[in-house]
Amino acid sequence: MTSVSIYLILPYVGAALAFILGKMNQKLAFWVAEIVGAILFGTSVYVFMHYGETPIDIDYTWIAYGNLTLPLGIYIDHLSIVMLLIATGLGFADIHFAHDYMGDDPDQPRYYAKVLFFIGGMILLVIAKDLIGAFAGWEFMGLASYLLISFWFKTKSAADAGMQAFLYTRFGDIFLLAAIGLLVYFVGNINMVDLDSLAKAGEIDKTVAFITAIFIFLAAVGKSGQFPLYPWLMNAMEGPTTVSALIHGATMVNSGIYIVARLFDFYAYTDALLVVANVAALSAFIGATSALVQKEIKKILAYSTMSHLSIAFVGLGVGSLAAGMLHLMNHAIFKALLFLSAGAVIYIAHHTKDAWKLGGLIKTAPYVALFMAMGSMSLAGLPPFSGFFSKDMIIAEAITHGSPFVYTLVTIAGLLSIAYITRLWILIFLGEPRNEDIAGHVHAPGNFFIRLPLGILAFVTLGIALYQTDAVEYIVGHEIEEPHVKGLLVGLLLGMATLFAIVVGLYVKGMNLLEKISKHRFMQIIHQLLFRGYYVEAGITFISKNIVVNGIARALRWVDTYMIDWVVNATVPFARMIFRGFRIGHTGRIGDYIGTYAIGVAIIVVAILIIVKGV
Amino acid sequence: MNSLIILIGAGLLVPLFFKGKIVIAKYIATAAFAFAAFNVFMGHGISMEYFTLTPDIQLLEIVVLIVLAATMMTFSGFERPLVSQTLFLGAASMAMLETNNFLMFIVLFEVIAIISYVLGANIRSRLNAEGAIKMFVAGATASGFILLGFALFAMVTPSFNYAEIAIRGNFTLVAVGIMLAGIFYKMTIVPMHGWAGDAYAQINHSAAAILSSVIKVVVVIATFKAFYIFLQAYLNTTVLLFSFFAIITMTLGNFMALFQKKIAKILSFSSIAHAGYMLIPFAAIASGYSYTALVYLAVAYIFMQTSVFLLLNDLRREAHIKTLDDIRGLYQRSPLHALFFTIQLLSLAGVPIMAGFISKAVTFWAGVDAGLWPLVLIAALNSALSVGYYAWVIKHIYFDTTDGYNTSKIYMTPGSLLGQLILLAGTIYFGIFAAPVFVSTGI
Repeated sequence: MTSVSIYLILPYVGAALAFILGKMNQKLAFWVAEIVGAILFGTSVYVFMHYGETPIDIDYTWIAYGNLTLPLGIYIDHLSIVMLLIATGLGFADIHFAHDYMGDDPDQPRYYAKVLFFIGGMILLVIAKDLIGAFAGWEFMGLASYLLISFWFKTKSAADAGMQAFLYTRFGDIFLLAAIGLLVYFVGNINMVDLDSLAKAGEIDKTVAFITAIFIFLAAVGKSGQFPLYPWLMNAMEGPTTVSALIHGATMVNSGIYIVARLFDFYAYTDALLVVANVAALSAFIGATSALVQKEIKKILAYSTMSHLSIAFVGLGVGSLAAGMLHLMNHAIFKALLFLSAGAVIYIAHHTKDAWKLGGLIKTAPYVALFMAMGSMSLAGLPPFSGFFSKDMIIAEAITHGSPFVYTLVTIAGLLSIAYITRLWILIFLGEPRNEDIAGHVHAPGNFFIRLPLGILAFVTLGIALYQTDAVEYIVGHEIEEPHVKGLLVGLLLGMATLFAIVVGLYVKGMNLLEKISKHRFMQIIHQLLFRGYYVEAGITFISKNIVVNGIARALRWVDTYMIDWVVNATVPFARMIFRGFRIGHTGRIGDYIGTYAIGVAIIVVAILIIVKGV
Repeated sequence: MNSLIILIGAGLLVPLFFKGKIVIAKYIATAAFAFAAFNVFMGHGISMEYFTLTPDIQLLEIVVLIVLAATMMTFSGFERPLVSQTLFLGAASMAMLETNNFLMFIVLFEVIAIISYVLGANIRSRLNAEGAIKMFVAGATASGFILLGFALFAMVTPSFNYAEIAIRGNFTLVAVGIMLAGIFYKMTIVPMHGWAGDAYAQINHSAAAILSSVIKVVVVIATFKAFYIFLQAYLNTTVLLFSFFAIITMTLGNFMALFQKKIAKILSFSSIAHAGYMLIPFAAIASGYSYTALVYLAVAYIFMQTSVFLLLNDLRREAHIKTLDDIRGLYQRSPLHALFFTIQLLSLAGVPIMAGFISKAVTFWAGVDAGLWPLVLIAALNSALSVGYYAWVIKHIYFDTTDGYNTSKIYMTPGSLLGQLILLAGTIYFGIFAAPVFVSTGI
C-alpha cells in the first residue's frame, strides 16, 4: 500500500521539486532526480523481494454516479513487477548517466522534471488494473516523449520530430480510446484482469473482442514503432541520447508489448494474435534491413530497436507470452546499455552522431568499447549473453507455431542483428578517425557517471543470462517447455558467423571493395530504399499532406472561417447589449443596491404569496 | 472542543507578535490551523450539544482549515489585521458546519458576518473604505431580514434542532422566505448581489479571497443543512424559486464578467456566477446526488477562488497590477504567478483534471437526475460562456507581450509559493480523485 502511494505520488512531486529547486540551483535538479529515481527503484526492489503469493490488488472507484462507473484500480503481479524493475531501474541508471551527458545544458531542471514525469507515466501504465488508468499512463508517456524529443526545441528538426512523434502515436492512441469505449459499451468492463478471465471463459462476443483487440494493437503499433507507424521512432533520435536510451530504447516503446501481454488471454481468444504476428514479422524485417545502411549511430540503434520490439511481438503473436516478455526484458537492458554507450561515445566526441566520422575510439575509451561490445553481443544473440536465449526461443516458437511468412522474416531479422551491430561497433571503435575535427579532440569519459552505469548494465546483461529459466517461470507462473527445433542452434550460429565474417571482412579489411560495391547503380537503389526506411514516411507524409491537410482540413477551415467565425463574431454585439442591460443596476451606489435587494425580496414574497393562494 | 480553544486562543495570542515582522504570528496561526485540521482528521469535532461531526462535514472542515492555513502563509505585513480574524473565522466555520441547531445557525451566521466586516475593514485607501461600507450596509440590511424571519419561525417551532423542527403552515413558509432573503445576501444571489460585485473588487484582495470563498462556502453548506427540511417540504416552490435564482445569478454574473477591464471585477462576478451554480443542487433537492454535488462544488470552488484572489493580491502588491492591460505578458515577468493563475482559471472554467470540472459534472448530473433539463442546459451554456472571460485573461497572460508597459520581474515570496502550491494540490487532487467526496457524502 505504501509502495503504491510512492509510485503514484513521488514521480510527480519529484518532477515539480526538481524543476522548482533546479531553478534556484542547477545542480539541485540532478540530485533531486537522482534521489527520487533511487527511491523508486528501491521501492520496486522492495516490492519484488516482498511479493506474497497473491498480486497486490486494490480496487478504487474513480467516479461513480448514475450508471457511469469509472474504476481506477491498481494491480501488481509478476508481469507488472518485471516492468516496474525495468522502468525504475533503467530510469535510475539513465538519470545517473545524464549527470555528465546533460551537464552542460542550461535547461537541466526542465530535463529532469520531464524525465521524472515520464517515469511516473510508465509506472502508472504498468500498475493500472483498468484500461482507464493504463490509458492515462499511456498518454502521460506520450506527452513526456513529445516534450523530451523536442527538448532542444530551438532547433527546428527537434521541434518537428517531437511534433511528428506526437501525431504518429496519437493516431494510434485514438484507437485505444475507441477500444475503451467499445468495451464499456459492449462488455461493460474495462478491468484488464477481468477481461482476460472473461475471454478465457468465453463470455465475450468474438467480434467485439477481435475489433477491440485490433484497436488496442493499433495503439501499440504507434507506441512501439511497428509498421507502418515507425518513422517517428527514427526521428525521435533528435532528442538527447539519454532520452533515446530510456524512452525510445528501453521503456516506453515496450508499453505496446506490455499491454498486449497484459491482455494476452484476451488476444488469444480471437485471431488477433495472427495479426500481431504478421505485422510484427514484417516490421522486424524492415527494421533489421534498414539498420544495415544507416549513418547515424542512434538511427542504427533506433531501427534495431524497432526490429527487436517486433521480434518480441512475434513471440507474443505465435502464442508464447514467456518468449515475448523474456525478449522484452533482455532487450530493454541491453538496448539501454547500447544507447548509453552510444551516448558516451557521442559525449566524448563532442556530440558527433555520424558513425562515419568516428573511428579508432577504442584507444580513448577502451571500457566503453568493451561494454558496448557486450551489449552488441547480447543484441546479436550470441551465447552466453541474455539476448541469445530469448531470441532463440522466439525463433523456435515461430518455426513451431507460426506461418512460413512469420518465421522466415523473423529469422532473417534475428540473423541480421549481428551484421548491423558489428558494423556500428567497427565504425566507432576500430580504424582511424575519419574526421579531422574529431581526431585528437576526443576526451576520456568520467568514471562515476559514465563508466559505472555502463559497467553495471553490461554486468546485468551477462548475469541475467543465468536466470533465464527462472525469469520465464516468474513471468508466466509455471515452468514451460521450450520447443526444440532440430539443427536450429547450429544453423543460427553458422549464419551469424558467416554474416560476422562478411561484415568484419568488408569494414576492417575491404573498405575499397565496399566502396566499389556501393557505387554500383543497383546497390544504390537498394541503399536508398533501405536508408529511407522503405519510403513509408514519405508515403504517410504524402497522404496526410494531400488528402488530410489540403483536402479535408482546408474544407473545414473554410467552414470555420466563413461560417462558424461569423456566427461567433455576431454574438459579440449581442453579448455586449446584454451586458449593458445588466449594468444598469450596477451604479456603485449602496442605495441602489439596497433597491435591487428589495426587488429580490419582492420576488420571494410574490412566490410565497402564489403558493399560499394555492395557484 | 480542543480545536476551537486552540484556534480562538491563537487568535487572541497573535496580536502580541504584530510588532515588526509578522512571521511569528503566521507560524503560530498556521500551526493552530494544522493542529485543528489534524484533530478533525482524527475525528474529534467540537463534540458539544448541538454539534455533530459527520464524514462529509469532516472533509469540508479539513478543506476549510487547510485553505485558511494556505491563505495564512501568503499573508504579508499588509495583512497584519487579518491574522487573528482568520483564526476566529476558522473556529466559527467549524462551528457553523457542525451545528445541528437552528438557533446556533442564526447566531453563527451573525458571528461570521461580523468577522467578515472586520476582514473587510483592513482599510488603506478610499476604495477599501467604500467597499467595506457597502458590505457593512448591505450586511446590516440582510441581518435585519434574517432576524425577522427567524423571529417568525421561532414563534411556531417547538424545537430548534434540525431533526425536531416542525412546519406549521404558512407561518413557517413566510418565515423561511424572509430568512432566505437575508441568506441570499451572503451567498451573493442576484439581485441581492449588488454589494459583492463592488466590495470583492474594492476591499483588500486577501480579504476578498476569504470572503468570496471560505465564507461563502460555509454559509452555503450550513444553509443547505439547516433548510433541508423546508426545501423538501415545499418541493415545488423550491424547484421554481431556486431554478429562477440560479439562472439569473449565473447569467448576470457571467455577462457582467465578460466585458470588465479590472481583473478583480472579473473575479468577483465570476464568484457571483459560481453562486448561481451552487443553487442548482438546491433546486435539484429531489435527486439523491444533490448534496454530493453541493459538497463537490464547495470543495472545488474554495481552492480555486481563494487561489486566484491571493495571486491577484500578490500581483497588486508587488507590481500594481489591476487591469487586463497590466497583466499583459505576465508570463515573462513571473512564470510562477502566470502558471498558478492559469491553472486555477482553467479550473474555474471547468477544464478536466481540475476540480472545477468534476464539480460541475456532478452538479449537472444531479440536475438531470432531478429532471431539471432546462436548468442544466442553461448552466452548461453559461459555463461555456464563462470560458470566454477566463480564456481572455489567460490570453493576456501568455499571448500578449508587455510592449511599453512595465517589464520588471515580479518576485514570489516563499510563503506565497507554499500557499499556492497547497491550493494547487487541492485543485488537482479533487480533480483526479473523486472518491473522497463521494464516499463522505454516502454515494
